[in-house]
Amino acid sequence: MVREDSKTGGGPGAPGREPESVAVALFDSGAMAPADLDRMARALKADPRVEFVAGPYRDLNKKSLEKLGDILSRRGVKRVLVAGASDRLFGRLIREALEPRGVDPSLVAIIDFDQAEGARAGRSRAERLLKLISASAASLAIASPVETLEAAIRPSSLVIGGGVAGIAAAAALARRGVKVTLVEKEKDLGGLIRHLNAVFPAYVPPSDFIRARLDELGGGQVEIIKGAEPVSMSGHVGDYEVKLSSGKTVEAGTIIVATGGALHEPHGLFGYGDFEHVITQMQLETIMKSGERPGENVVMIQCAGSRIPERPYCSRICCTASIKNTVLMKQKFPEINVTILSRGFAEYAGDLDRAREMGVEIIRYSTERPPVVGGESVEVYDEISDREEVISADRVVLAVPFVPSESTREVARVLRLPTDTYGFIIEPEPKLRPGEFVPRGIYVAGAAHWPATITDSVVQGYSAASRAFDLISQGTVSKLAFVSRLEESLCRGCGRCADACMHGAIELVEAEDGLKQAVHLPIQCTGCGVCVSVCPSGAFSLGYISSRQIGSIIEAIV
Amino acid sequence: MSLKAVIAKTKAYYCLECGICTGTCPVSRYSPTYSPRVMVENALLFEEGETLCAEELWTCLTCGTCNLRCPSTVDYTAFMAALREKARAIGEQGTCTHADTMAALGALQMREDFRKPREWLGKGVRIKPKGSTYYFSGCLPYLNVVFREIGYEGGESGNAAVRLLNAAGIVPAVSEKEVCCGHDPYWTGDRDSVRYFARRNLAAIRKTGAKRVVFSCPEGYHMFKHIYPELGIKVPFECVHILTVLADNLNKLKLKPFPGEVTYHDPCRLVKFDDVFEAPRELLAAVPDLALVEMGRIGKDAMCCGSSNWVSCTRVNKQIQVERLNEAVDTGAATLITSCPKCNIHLRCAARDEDNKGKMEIKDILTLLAESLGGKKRAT
Amino acid sequence: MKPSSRKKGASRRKAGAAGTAGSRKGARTARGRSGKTDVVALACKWHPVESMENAVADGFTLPAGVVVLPVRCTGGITVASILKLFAKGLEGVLIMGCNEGDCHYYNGSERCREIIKDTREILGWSGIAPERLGFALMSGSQGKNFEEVLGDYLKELKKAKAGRAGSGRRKRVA
Repeated sequence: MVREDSKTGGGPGAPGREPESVAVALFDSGAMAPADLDRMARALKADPRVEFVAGPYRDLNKKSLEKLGDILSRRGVKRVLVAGASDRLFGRLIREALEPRGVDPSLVAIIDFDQAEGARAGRSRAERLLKLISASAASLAIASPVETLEAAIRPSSLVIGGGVAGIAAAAALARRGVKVTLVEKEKDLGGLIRHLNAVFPAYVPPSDFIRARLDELGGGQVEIIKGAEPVSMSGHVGDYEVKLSSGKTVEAGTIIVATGGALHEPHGLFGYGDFEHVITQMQLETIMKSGERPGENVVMIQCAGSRIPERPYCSRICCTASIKNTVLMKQKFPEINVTILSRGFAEYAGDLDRAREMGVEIIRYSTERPPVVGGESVEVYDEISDREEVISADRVVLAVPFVPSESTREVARVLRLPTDTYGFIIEPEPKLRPGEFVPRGIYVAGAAHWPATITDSVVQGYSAASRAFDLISQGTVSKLAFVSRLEESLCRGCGRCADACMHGAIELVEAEDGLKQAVHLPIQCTGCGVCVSVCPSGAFSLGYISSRQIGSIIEAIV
Repeated sequence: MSLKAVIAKTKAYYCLECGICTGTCPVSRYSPTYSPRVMVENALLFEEGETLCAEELWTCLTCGTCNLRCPSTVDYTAFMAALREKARAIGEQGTCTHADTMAALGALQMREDFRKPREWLGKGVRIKPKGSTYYFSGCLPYLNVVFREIGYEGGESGNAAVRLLNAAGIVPAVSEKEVCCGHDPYWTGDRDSVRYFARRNLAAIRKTGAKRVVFSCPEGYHMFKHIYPELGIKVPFECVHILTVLADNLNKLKLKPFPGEVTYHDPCRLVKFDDVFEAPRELLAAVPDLALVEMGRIGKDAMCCGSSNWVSCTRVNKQIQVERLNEAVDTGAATLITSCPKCNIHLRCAARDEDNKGKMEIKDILTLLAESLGGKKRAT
Repeated sequence: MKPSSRKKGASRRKAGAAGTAGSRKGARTARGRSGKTDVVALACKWHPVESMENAVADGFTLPAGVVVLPVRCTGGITVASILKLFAKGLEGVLIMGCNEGDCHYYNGSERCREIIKDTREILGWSGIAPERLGFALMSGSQGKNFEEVLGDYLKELKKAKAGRAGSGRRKRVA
């Protein structure tokens, strides 16, 4: 047993403290026979730990909840255990209906009859449920109410990365009147597309594209910092502080990560690095920009380093890029022979038909028998016509996949963002909440997240900006503090908690005595409890339930 | 026992308020609020409730250094133990460190079907179900799991203990029904658990027919030899620490060269509550090419490793550990030798943290001796 | 009406027996004794509870002796909390979490996996078959559902109790 004001952890609930009155509301969910339900109601009425029993109510809806609320309000009871409902499905409904009647939503406990064995067990089930309900009521009686935490959101945004996605995001936010700081590692904005010769489908140079986008950033609303990267981050949702390599610290309410991807360097694959004439599509873009002739017999190899066990994903841009370059090459130098070795084109392969009309040969190869690149030719097994081909080649161009850029890896580390197996930044719910991370107020757009086309990047940039703007418009975020609790004086500064917390809710700071000290940010905390299990000092505990409460429930049901 | 009786029994009323205890105490050095002298004075002057509800009640390491220095021979650690028993009775307890794992392990051992499979001792050991000498291993198998994270290998030292006994011509009896010695429950005020564990342990050992019990852990040794009798529990065997047994049988141990410089940390239970001081040194001296460089404070003056019966693990404890580690580093030796699992774990944990990483290698004396003995290491 | 709880041939409990049938001879099966819980399932309130509710809607009912306690995230389950449940004399403990990648708190179930590994090892060195601690990750709407997962676990538990899956000797971990 632990004193409530004791520093020794264990959470709320104290010996000798008077338990508060708790009502039990029974709902007939059909999971129990009416006779058993009545018996349970009678037993609970006789239970000294229960102030009174409401129900059994036949239906769980707003009307019956309002009735319940009225009774609670009349009897002055502020805590209620609702038995016979699913917390997951009806929790919100129940709490929202009761709150106006003076019931603290953090003091509403909900138990489902399905938590103990089924109808067949008859009497013994009712007994067991009764124990569970009685113990839960006793636990609720000594629970401490949970406070509401609030954080104000600064109306500003830090966009990390000045490529296509970053520029789009920054422009979208600036249009809405948000103060934006755009940080770019290189000396120029634009990211990867600066190196392109042309952009599909307009086949225009990227400079046009970039200039158009950059105009959107004009007007002084966006502060652009070049040649700098984030090195550390502190703060919480709505109030982040990011220190840059230039020494400057940026304060922002939201952060958008658009640090992009890099192109994989396929050393040793298909002769890259061994033969001078083997290059990547990006290197081809450079050649074409210069107006040079790429070669006489050009062989392109698709999926060079992607869709293989190491990197099983499709990089999405390579088909379009290769065919775009093919079309441009054939336009300028119609007599050049171009052969594309592919493992199947993506749906968005762009001008595939046009390329075919221009006389480009396409050969299908399989993973089991990849092409072999020699000094003057390429051997490939044609899967369709079922024969070995030897193609003269004085230029071999590899379509290599996107991988996360160095900056993406580094920023993920600094911002404590989760990454997937390949290093791309991944969100916890890619389908339902794409682009949003558990540290709220941080969003990701573009190839930092997954291989992205220019369109993808722009759209994601706009989307991230839109979400950030939603948060900023809210002004504040608030939540019930179902979070952990840190007793700072017990901390010995080992740092295991900060390493374990995926939500950015724990920081390790220097203390006066030279040792480190953990600091907890409740607004970022999700109450998952990982810190509690890794702390050797017992400095963390669950702030919303005490070990006494847990102990009493277990004691009752076992 | 009433507080008055506790004070009488431990001679707390003899306190002169000289403050030597506080000057000696490692916790006082780093904690702004803890002082043995103040604890005693408060108990003598003020309400019982205040004394028992003080958080400082749980910060004492029970290392016993103050006992040795007190000119009035106040038994401070016994005073602590008694106060903690009373505090527990009114619902007070220390912090639940290590996510309460060690306490839960104690509760688990209350199951009647709790057994410690002898396989945990590993390979290359000779043991038997009945014998005149019994080997008590304590919580080593569990410490092995819980503290693997910091590199502690309790399994190795358990295996080493038996191999060394074998080399000394002893095939010890072990029982799967052995449970916790009760050290931490005792020092945190839970005497009921101690009595329960003692009953089960003594029954298990009696069944093996052993006349002598050998301990590798100083705390288990301390419990059987000193505390069980104090609690009125009859221990009908000779209780001896493995270092003493091995030192007595030094001529049977064929130790191979193990070059290096080491320093040795005396565990409180062996040197302040008992006198196992020479034995480890004789053993270390017997290892060819091994040089022992002593720290400044050894034996009865040794600084405690900062472990606390699992009820306190704050920056105060860490600073104590760091001070002792630095003292070890100052000897210039590459390895710090320990002979207690708690010492090994706590010093190792302090060394693991960023600021102290890699300062020294920390090694258990039995592991060292077993390695020097040669033969295969325990297969994990 | 005859009380249904008394089983024929049930062995007498030894005085002071704090637990359930372990590896003792003549061990009775503990399930179904009136009012006694034998298995506690700590189920994460997200996917596993959803799966349970779906199963119940399809007509599934919990077998006798099993109680489900929802937890916020399996990542917050500690070694101590599991050991304390076994200390109370439970036959088995089943932890049900969300699939890795689906965890609402990002890596809770991954962390739980490590805890389970350590706890099973401790149980093994305590004479309690590690299989008595079950660990299953699941989705609320796909793959093996609550009923199947629980069924699989109870089968393993039955084997463990009969001494077939491990008689307290250290066995495979995790």
